[in-house]
Amino acid sequence: MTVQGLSLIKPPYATISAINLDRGDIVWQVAHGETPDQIRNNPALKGLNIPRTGQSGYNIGTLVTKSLVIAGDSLITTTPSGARGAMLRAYDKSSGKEVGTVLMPAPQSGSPMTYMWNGKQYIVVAISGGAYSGEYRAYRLPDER
Amino acid sequence: MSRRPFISLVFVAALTAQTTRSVWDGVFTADQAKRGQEVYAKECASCHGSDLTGGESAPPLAGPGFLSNWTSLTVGDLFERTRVSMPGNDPGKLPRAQVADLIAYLLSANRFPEGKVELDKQTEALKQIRIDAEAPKK
Repeated sequence: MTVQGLSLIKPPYATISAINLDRGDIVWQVAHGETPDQIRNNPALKGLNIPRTGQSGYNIGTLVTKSLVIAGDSLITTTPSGARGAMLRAYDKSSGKEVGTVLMPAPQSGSPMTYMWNGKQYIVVAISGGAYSGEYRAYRLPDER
Repeated sequence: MSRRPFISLVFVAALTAQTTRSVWDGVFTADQAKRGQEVYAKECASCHGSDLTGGESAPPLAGPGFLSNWTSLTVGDLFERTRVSMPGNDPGKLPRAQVADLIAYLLSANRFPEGKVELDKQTEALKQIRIDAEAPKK
Protein backbone atom coordinates (compact mmCIF):
# COMPACT_ATOMS: atom_id res chain seq x y z
CA MET A 1 0.00 0.00 0.00
CA THR A 2 1.29 3.43 -0.88
CA VAL A 3 0.41 6.99 0.12
CA GLN A 4 1.41 9.76 -2.29
CA GLY A 5 3.50 7.15 -4.09
CA LEU A 6 5.43 6.22 -0.94
CA SER A 7 5.31 2.83 0.74
CA LEU A 8 3.90 2.70 4.24
CA ILE A 9 6.93 0.63 5.20
CA LYS A 10 9.89 2.65 6.42
CA PRO A 11 13.05 2.11 4.35
CA PRO A 12 15.42 0.42 3.84
CA TYR A 13 13.29 -1.57 1.43
CA ALA A 14 15.96 -4.27 1.08
CA THR A 15 19.18 -5.03 2.93
CA ILE A 16 22.13 -7.39 2.77
CA SER A 17 23.09 -8.56 6.25
CA ALA A 18 26.20 -10.35 7.46
CA ILE A 19 25.42 -12.53 10.47
CA ASN A 20 27.96 -14.05 12.82
CA LEU A 21 26.60 -17.57 13.11
CA ASP A 22 28.58 -18.27 16.29
CA ARG A 23 27.01 -15.41 18.22
CA GLY A 24 23.90 -14.72 16.19
CA ASP A 25 24.85 -11.05 15.85
CA ILE A 26 24.40 -8.92 12.77
CA VAL A 27 27.97 -7.84 11.95
CA TRP A 28 26.99 -5.35 9.26
CA GLN A 29 23.92 -4.46 7.27
CA VAL A 30 23.61 -2.30 4.16
CA ALA A 31 20.66 -1.04 2.15
CA HIS A 32 21.11 -2.82 -1.16
CA GLY A 33 19.97 -1.09 -4.32
CA GLU A 34 19.84 2.53 -5.44
CA THR A 35 16.93 4.64 -4.22
CA PRO A 36 14.15 4.15 -6.81
CA ASP A 37 13.45 7.18 -9.02
CA GLN A 38 9.88 7.50 -7.83
CA ILE A 39 11.12 7.79 -4.25
CA ARG A 40 14.01 10.14 -4.96
CA ASN A 41 11.84 12.39 -7.11
CA ASN A 42 8.74 12.23 -4.93
CA PRO A 43 7.45 15.78 -4.27
CA ALA A 44 6.55 14.83 -0.67
CA LEU A 45 10.27 14.29 0.04
CA LYS A 46 11.50 17.48 -1.59
CA GLY A 47 14.29 19.08 0.44
CA LEU A 48 14.94 15.96 2.51
CA ASN A 49 18.20 14.06 2.40
CA ILE A 50 17.11 10.45 2.13
CA PRO A 51 19.92 7.89 2.47
CA ARG A 52 20.02 5.01 0.00
CA THR A 53 16.78 3.10 0.50
CA GLY A 54 17.53 -0.16 -1.26
CA GLN A 55 14.93 -1.65 -3.59
CA SER A 56 12.05 -3.96 -3.03
CA GLY A 57 11.60 -6.47 -5.77
CA TYR A 58 11.88 -10.11 -6.36
CA ASN A 59 14.70 -11.74 -4.47
CA ILE A 60 18.18 -11.87 -5.91
CA GLY A 61 21.14 -14.02 -5.07
CA THR A 62 24.59 -12.90 -3.99
CA LEU A 63 28.05 -14.10 -4.89
CA VAL A 64 30.41 -14.45 -1.93
CA THR A 65 34.17 -14.72 -2.47
CA LYS A 66 37.11 -14.74 -0.06
CA SER A 67 36.91 -10.96 0.31
CA LEU A 68 33.77 -9.66 -1.43
CA VAL A 69 29.99 -9.90 -1.55
CA ILE A 70 28.68 -9.16 -5.04
CA ALA A 71 25.06 -8.50 -5.99
CA GLY A 72 23.15 -6.46 -8.56
CA ASP A 73 20.26 -4.05 -8.16
CA SER A 74 16.81 -5.39 -8.91
CA LEU A 75 15.41 -2.20 -10.48
CA ILE A 76 16.46 0.21 -13.20
CA THR A 77 17.18 3.70 -11.90
CA THR A 78 18.58 6.92 -13.32
CA THR A 79 22.17 7.82 -12.46
CA PRO A 80 23.28 11.44 -11.76
CA SER A 81 24.59 11.58 -15.35
CA GLY A 82 21.15 10.68 -16.70
CA ALA A 83 22.04 7.14 -17.79
CA ARG A 84 19.51 4.48 -16.89
CA GLY A 85 20.46 1.03 -15.71
CA ALA A 86 21.05 -1.16 -12.70
CA MET A 87 24.25 -1.38 -10.68
CA LEU A 88 26.29 -4.49 -10.03
CA ARG A 89 27.84 -3.85 -6.61
CA ALA A 90 30.77 -5.30 -4.70
CA TYR A 91 30.95 -4.97 -0.91
CA ASP A 92 33.88 -5.64 1.39
CA LYS A 93 32.88 -8.89 3.07
CA SER A 94 34.28 -7.88 6.43
CA SER A 95 32.71 -4.43 6.71
CA GLY A 96 29.90 -4.10 4.14
CA LYS A 97 31.60 -1.04 2.64
CA GLU A 98 30.82 -0.68 -1.06
CA VAL A 99 34.12 -1.01 -2.93
CA GLY A 100 33.04 -1.09 -6.58
CA THR A 101 30.10 -0.68 -8.96
CA VAL A 102 29.40 -1.34 -12.63
CA LEU A 103 26.35 0.04 -14.45
CA MET A 104 24.47 -2.71 -16.28
CA PRO A 105 21.72 -2.10 -18.85
CA ALA A 106 19.18 -4.18 -16.92
CA PRO A 107 18.72 -5.58 -13.41
CA GLN A 108 20.26 -8.78 -12.17
CA SER A 109 17.84 -11.65 -12.75
CA GLY A 110 20.00 -14.55 -11.60
CA SER A 111 22.77 -15.06 -9.09
CA PRO A 112 26.28 -14.01 -10.18
CA MET A 113 29.09 -16.55 -10.33
CA THR A 114 32.82 -16.28 -10.86
CA TYR A 115 35.49 -18.29 -12.61
CA MET A 116 39.10 -17.96 -13.69
CA TRP A 117 40.28 -18.45 -17.27
CA ASN A 118 43.78 -17.86 -18.63
CA GLY A 119 44.82 -16.27 -15.38
CA LYS A 120 41.99 -13.73 -15.32
CA GLN A 121 39.05 -13.66 -12.97
CA TYR A 122 35.58 -13.24 -14.48
CA ILE A 123 32.18 -12.48 -12.97
CA VAL A 124 29.18 -13.59 -14.98
CA VAL A 125 25.65 -12.49 -14.17
CA ALA A 126 22.21 -12.97 -15.71
CA ILE A 127 20.32 -9.75 -16.39
CA SER A 128 16.93 -8.84 -17.81
CA GLY A 129 14.16 -6.36 -17.20
CA GLY A 130 12.06 -3.79 -18.94
CA ALA A 131 12.57 -4.10 -22.67
CA TYR A 132 15.88 -5.86 -22.14
CA SER A 133 15.67 -9.58 -22.88
CA GLY A 134 17.55 -12.00 -20.69
CA GLU A 135 21.26 -12.43 -21.28
CA TYR A 136 24.44 -13.33 -19.48
CA ARG A 137 27.15 -10.70 -19.12
CA ALA A 138 30.72 -11.44 -18.13
CA TYR A 139 32.98 -8.82 -16.55
CA ARG A 140 36.68 -8.80 -15.74
CA LEU A 141 39.17 -6.13 -14.77
CA PRO A 142 40.98 -4.39 -17.65
CA ASP A 143 44.52 -5.47 -18.45
CA GLU A 144 47.22 -3.65 -16.51
CA ARG A 145 49.21 -1.18 -18.59
CA MET B 1 42.13 25.10 -63.37
CA SER B 2 41.97 25.96 -59.78
CA ARG B 3 39.82 23.92 -57.53
CA ARG B 4 37.34 25.68 -55.37
CA PRO B 5 36.81 24.29 -51.98
CA PHE B 6 33.56 22.41 -51.92
CA ILE B 7 31.52 23.34 -48.96
CA SER B 8 28.51 21.34 -48.15
CA LEU B 9 26.01 21.89 -45.46
CA VAL B 10 24.49 18.87 -43.99
CA PHE B 11 21.43 19.03 -41.93
CA VAL B 12 21.03 16.07 -39.72
CA ALA B 13 17.57 15.32 -38.54
CA ALA B 14 17.17 14.05 -35.06
CA LEU B 15 17.39 10.30 -35.28
CA THR B 16 15.49 9.67 -32.15
CA ALA B 17 11.82 9.21 -32.75
CA GLN B 18 9.71 11.54 -30.68
CA THR B 19 6.77 10.25 -28.76
CA THR B 20 3.60 12.26 -29.13
CA ARG B 21 1.48 10.92 -26.26
CA SER B 22 1.92 9.32 -22.87
CA VAL B 23 0.09 6.66 -20.90
CA TRP B 24 -1.59 9.49 -19.00
CA ASP B 25 -3.57 10.46 -22.10
CA GLY B 26 -6.21 7.71 -21.91
CA VAL B 27 -4.77 5.33 -24.50
CA PHE B 28 -6.99 2.26 -23.88
CA THR B 29 -10.61 1.54 -23.05
CA ALA B 30 -12.17 -0.11 -20.00
CA ASP B 31 -13.64 -2.88 -22.17
CA GLN B 32 -10.25 -3.62 -23.69
CA ALA B 33 -8.63 -3.83 -20.25
CA LYS B 34 -11.38 -6.21 -19.16
CA ARG B 35 -10.64 -8.48 -22.11
CA GLY B 36 -6.96 -8.25 -21.27
CA GLN B 37 -7.64 -9.31 -17.72
CA GLU B 38 -9.11 -12.56 -19.04
CA VAL B 39 -6.02 -13.13 -21.18
CA TYR B 40 -3.83 -12.40 -18.18
CA ALA B 41 -5.65 -14.87 -15.94
CA LYS B 42 -5.30 -17.59 -18.55
CA GLU B 43 -1.79 -16.97 -19.88
CA CYS B 44 0.22 -14.95 -17.35
CA ALA B 45 -1.04 -15.24 -13.78
CA SER B 46 0.55 -18.62 -13.11
CA CYS B 47 4.03 -17.02 -13.22
CA HIS B 48 3.42 -13.31 -12.57
CA GLY B 49 0.81 -13.83 -9.87
CA SER B 50 -2.92 -13.22 -9.88
CA ASP B 51 -2.28 -9.76 -8.40
CA LEU B 52 0.60 -8.97 -10.82
CA THR B 53 3.14 -8.83 -8.01
CA GLY B 54 5.49 -11.31 -9.66
CA GLY B 55 6.75 -14.70 -8.64
CA GLU B 56 9.94 -16.55 -7.92
CA SER B 57 11.17 -16.29 -11.49
CA ALA B 58 8.87 -13.64 -12.96
CA PRO B 59 9.03 -9.89 -12.30
CA PRO B 60 6.10 -7.82 -11.06
CA LEU B 61 3.85 -6.29 -13.70
CA ALA B 62 2.35 -3.60 -11.50
CA GLY B 63 3.62 -1.09 -8.99
CA PRO B 64 7.00 0.60 -8.54
CA GLY B 65 8.98 -2.51 -9.41
CA PHE B 66 7.35 -2.62 -12.83
CA LEU B 67 7.27 1.11 -13.50
CA SER B 68 10.93 1.65 -12.57
CA ASN B 69 11.99 -0.68 -15.33
CA TRP B 70 9.63 0.69 -17.98
CA THR B 71 9.43 4.42 -17.38
CA SER B 72 10.85 6.48 -20.28
CA LEU B 73 10.34 3.57 -22.67
CA THR B 74 7.27 3.23 -24.89
CA VAL B 75 4.13 1.14 -24.92
CA GLY B 76 5.47 -0.21 -28.21
CA ASP B 77 8.54 -1.54 -26.38
CA LEU B 78 6.33 -3.21 -23.79
CA PHE B 79 4.06 -4.61 -26.51
CA GLU B 80 6.96 -6.09 -28.50
CA ARG B 81 8.68 -7.52 -25.42
CA THR B 82 5.45 -9.25 -24.48
CA ARG B 83 4.50 -10.33 -27.99
CA VAL B 84 7.87 -11.85 -28.83
CA SER B 85 8.92 -13.43 -25.53
CA MET B 86 5.70 -14.30 -23.71
CA PRO B 87 4.23 -16.55 -22.46
CA GLY B 88 7.44 -18.17 -21.33
CA ASN B 89 6.33 -21.69 -22.20
CA ASP B 90 5.17 -20.79 -25.73
CA PRO B 91 6.58 -17.41 -26.81
CA GLY B 92 4.80 -15.62 -29.62
CA LYS B 93 1.59 -17.60 -29.46
CA LEU B 94 -0.67 -14.67 -28.64
CA PRO B 95 -2.07 -12.73 -31.61
CA ARG B 96 -1.46 -8.99 -31.71
CA ALA B 97 -5.02 -8.14 -30.71
CA GLN B 98 -4.77 -10.20 -27.54
CA VAL B 99 -1.38 -8.71 -26.68
CA ALA B 100 -2.89 -5.23 -27.10
CA ASP B 101 -5.73 -6.20 -24.74
CA LEU B 102 -3.21 -7.55 -22.28
CA ILE B 103 -1.15 -4.35 -22.34
CA ALA B 104 -4.36 -2.38 -21.81
CA TYR B 105 -4.96 -4.45 -18.68
CA LEU B 106 -1.42 -3.84 -17.42
CA LEU B 107 -1.84 -0.09 -17.94
CA SER B 108 -5.16 -0.22 -16.13
CA ALA B 109 -3.66 -2.22 -13.23
CA ASN B 110 -0.96 0.43 -12.94
CA ARG B 111 -3.70 3.05 -12.57
CA PHE B 112 -3.22 4.87 -15.81
CA PRO B 113 -6.45 6.48 -16.99
CA GLU B 114 -8.72 4.78 -19.51
CA GLY B 115 -9.90 6.61 -22.60
CA LYS B 116 -12.38 6.28 -25.44
CA VAL B 117 -10.17 4.66 -28.07
CA GLU B 118 -8.70 1.19 -27.86
CA LEU B 119 -4.97 0.61 -27.77
CA ASP B 120 -3.64 -0.04 -31.26
CA LYS B 121 -2.16 -3.42 -32.13
CA GLN B 122 0.54 -2.06 -34.45
CA THR B 123 3.94 -1.63 -32.84
CA GLU B 124 4.88 1.58 -34.67
CA ALA B 125 1.73 3.33 -33.45
CA LEU B 126 2.39 2.16 -29.91
CA LYS B 127 5.95 3.46 -30.03
CA GLN B 128 4.42 6.95 -30.07
CA ILE B 129 3.10 6.43 -26.53
CA ARG B 130 5.61 7.05 -23.78
CA ILE B 131 5.47 5.29 -20.42
CA ASP B 132 5.86 7.80 -17.60
CA ALA B 133 5.62 6.54 -14.04
CA GLU B 134 4.64 9.95 -12.77
CA ALA B 135 1.70 12.01 -13.94
CA PRO B 136 2.62 15.16 -15.84
CA LYS B 137 2.67 18.32 -13.76
CA LYS B 138 -0.33 20.52 -14.40
